[in-house]
Amino acid sequence: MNQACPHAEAGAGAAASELRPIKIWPRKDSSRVPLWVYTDRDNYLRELEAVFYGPHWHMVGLESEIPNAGDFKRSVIGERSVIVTRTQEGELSVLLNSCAHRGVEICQTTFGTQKEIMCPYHQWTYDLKGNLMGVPFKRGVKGKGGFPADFDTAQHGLRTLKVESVNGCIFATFDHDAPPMREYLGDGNYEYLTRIFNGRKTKVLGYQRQRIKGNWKLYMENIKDPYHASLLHVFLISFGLYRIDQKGVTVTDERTLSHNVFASIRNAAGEVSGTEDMKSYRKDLKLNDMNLVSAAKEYEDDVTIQIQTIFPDLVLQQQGNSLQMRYVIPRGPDEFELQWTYFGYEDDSADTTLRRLRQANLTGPSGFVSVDDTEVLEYSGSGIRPNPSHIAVLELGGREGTAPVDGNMVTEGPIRGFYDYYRRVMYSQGGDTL
Amino acid sequence: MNDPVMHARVADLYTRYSETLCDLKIADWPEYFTDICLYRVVSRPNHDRGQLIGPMFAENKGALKDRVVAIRETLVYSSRSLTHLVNGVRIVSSEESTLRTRSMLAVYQTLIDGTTQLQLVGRTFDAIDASGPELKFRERVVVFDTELLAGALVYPV
Repeated sequence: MNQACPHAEAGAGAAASELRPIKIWPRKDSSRVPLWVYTDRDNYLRELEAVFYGPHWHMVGLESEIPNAGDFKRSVIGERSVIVTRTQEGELSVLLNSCAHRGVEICQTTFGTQKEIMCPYHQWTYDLKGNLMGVPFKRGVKGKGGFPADFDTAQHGLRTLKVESVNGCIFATFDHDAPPMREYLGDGNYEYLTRIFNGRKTKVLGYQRQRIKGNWKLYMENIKDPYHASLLHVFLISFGLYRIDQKGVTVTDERTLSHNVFASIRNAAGEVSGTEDMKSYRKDLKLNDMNLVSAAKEYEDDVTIQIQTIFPDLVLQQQGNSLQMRYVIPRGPDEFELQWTYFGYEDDSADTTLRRLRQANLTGPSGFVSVDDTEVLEYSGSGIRPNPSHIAVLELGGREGTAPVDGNMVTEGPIRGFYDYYRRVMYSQGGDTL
Repeated sequence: MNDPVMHARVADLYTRYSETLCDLKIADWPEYFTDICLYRVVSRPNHDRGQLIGPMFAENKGALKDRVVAIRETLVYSSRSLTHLVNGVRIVSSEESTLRTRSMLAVYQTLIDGTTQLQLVGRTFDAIDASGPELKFRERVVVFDTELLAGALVYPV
């Protein structure tokens, strides 16, 4: 991180300086990431347009959260609030939570049931598909006022998003030309998504929310980085929940390089291989309550950890019997919200639910593993914000974006892959610069 | 519940519990609980929906000790100081040797280079075992309003 961006002249504009570096990427490959990418306001706005409101899918909920006709929930994509509803016909619809009249955020409730959507300000009323059904005083009062005769309610519905449910996990995108989820993810990543969302009805066990003072991309990088897991997370390592050499597979979507899965099987108890370079490994630690780490097999394979990143903002994890989604919501370049949805299946036994609740102690705002990440990402934010002309180095496992297929976890390949795709999305029109 | 001695003992329990956490004597924290116990920290929205997921959940003193080991030995976090303000401790009911209580709680956190911030506010719904010489928590359920937490919640409340 000690190299500075070249301070070349920025075209006809002002000269670059340490705090206002030229906004370029130093190399053709993504083995270098300039830190202005995490701090620059214009770059952030471009991200909202091109990444969050562009042809990418976002997880907006589970069908089990809105099981009946008229049920709705509020959700978020980027900085925009959306309403996820089940229509009277039982279909799913995702609508921008902003009135077509004057932009008011219509829905202020997290969950609910309704027959129609009415804006509280002037009572414009929409059906659950977002069609404008009526406006008060359309013809005025006693022949005075009202809308012009040619005012067409059909032209003033709520903005609708494209929706796809993958076995009950609801995704939405602002771009109606976005490819279907299977094509979007690629077969390998789709397979792992549907390993968890396998057709069994889900049941939400609860949510957790955190604000973290760092750029949103740092979170996706963190999950794409198995290097840190074996070093930072002493708890995982010391209690044998994860080792860098454990048997596993990595699956990278070939089209984008930006969706990844790591799926692996816990090493046998007592095995200490792969711990040689871990300064923080503590073989003396013993748990009093082994329930925390006692996982029961529940899928056909023996995978104990599956962690998947779906571009741009979703993480799906199985950690033993704990199933969660982590959804990243950007709040400006310097901060993001992390929304955790913990779930199981509708037909889980009481014992299974209890195992999921116990193992949830590993993650979330107080998680034995996740606290480390929350803290370190805030240190990242603190280290990056005042140093936008510095450059991050990502050379572990090479310089290309392709991730290894042999399960090798000693690599930053998935992070480089993320940035290869990100650069294509962000700077496709103006070369490799804003 | 009109026993003034018991009121004083309960008030003293909450004061000592808070002092222990304010003093960051985290190793002493599990000793406020019975061997088999319920400790749960859960957001108000989850709690109101009957959902049990929360930042912390333990079913016995051993699990509380495991959390102490994590906080002292394995977790990576910056140092901080905490002040717990407990208000309105009330004995709701008493049956045999179990007292049901509730209270209001505010926790302030101070990080290096940071001004003091309100970290968490909420209510507690506890069950206290009064059968032994010292009062102990058999259940402690902290229902917090601060669903959207600032960063990590490292220490118990």
